[in-house]
Amino acid sequence: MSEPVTFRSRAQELEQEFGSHPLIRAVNFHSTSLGQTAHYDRQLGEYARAFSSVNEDELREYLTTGAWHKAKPGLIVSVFEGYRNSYEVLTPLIEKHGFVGWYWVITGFINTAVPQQLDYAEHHDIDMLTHEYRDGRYALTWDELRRLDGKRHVIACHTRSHMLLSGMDAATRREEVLGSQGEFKKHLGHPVRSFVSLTGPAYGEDPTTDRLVEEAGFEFVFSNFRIQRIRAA
Amino acid sequence: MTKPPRTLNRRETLLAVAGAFSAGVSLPAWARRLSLTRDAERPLSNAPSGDAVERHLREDLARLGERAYSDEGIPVFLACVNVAAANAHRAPVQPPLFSQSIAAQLRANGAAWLHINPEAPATDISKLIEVLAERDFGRLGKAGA
Repeated sequence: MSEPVTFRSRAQELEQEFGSHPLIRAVNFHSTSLGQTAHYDRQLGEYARAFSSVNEDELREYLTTGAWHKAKPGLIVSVFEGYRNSYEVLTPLIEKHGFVGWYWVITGFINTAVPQQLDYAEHHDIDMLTHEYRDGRYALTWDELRRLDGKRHVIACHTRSHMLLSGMDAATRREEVLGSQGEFKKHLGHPVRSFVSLTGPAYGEDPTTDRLVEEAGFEFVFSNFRIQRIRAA
Repeated sequence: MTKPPRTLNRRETLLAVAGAFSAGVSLPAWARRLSLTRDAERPLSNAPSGDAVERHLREDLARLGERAYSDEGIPVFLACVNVAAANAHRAPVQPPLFSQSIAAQLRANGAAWLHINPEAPATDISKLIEVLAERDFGRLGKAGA
């Protein structure tokens, strides 16, 4: 039997990993309500004074060589779930301050009909402090995602339904990974390269999910403490 | 990630810790000047003693306990690991001094957290990473403290 994971063992493992690999800074946004616009603007403005944008090619180079070639260190601006306010509130600020947004999209959320989106969010761990859209649309649309994609932001996969993969049967799990990738191919015209699932298990922690992630063709797996490049381009 | 990051457990833990240590601790202004470094952070020889690390950690956890995870941008660090088979034969990438500094800070603060809470669950490591990231480029930036 393997030893139980304790705080001490986890800390030692992570200390070893952090000390032996390049680190990158990231900031994780979820719902970005209109009322917080000035706050986000200040936050991203502060970051822009000290950090550079990161796209997937730059990330690949950094993972491969450990060398960073921009004048300022990189900052990954992650935007989770696929909220409408990501597009309407945060995206203009990301662009104003010269960053690349990494949009982690739950395809089931944006595929949900508008009248059901709030209910879907409530049942899929998609948190919102505010409900400010009277028309009921709380998710991004594929048109908006295509525009983001066209502007060189990163569109990335956050599974189909934002549920724990480890508890799913094989067919459902396959849909969560390969099915969602298929939707990106259909709507964006190309596969996406980066993947993360709910709670952020790393590549190597679950062989079943690993096989699906490989089959779907993802290059990067993000998790709570690391980014893994799992395939050569 | 977090939600590479899922953060609910972190929030709950931070709130619990904040409840214990928040007396007399005021929330610092967000827009403090960032304590950003390209590479080297504070040298290990200048690292604070165990008591100081613990006191600092208690204060910072209390400060972070008040934030709304679903409505804020949360700073984190991510280790960049290349496991692509085609690169497996390559020599390991030399980590920057920055990586080693953050690892050292994690060691010191992890020990402090175990002293504060000997029964700490493994999941508490997430909030330590958040504290370190907030100190480096977030609202706990040292330059403004």
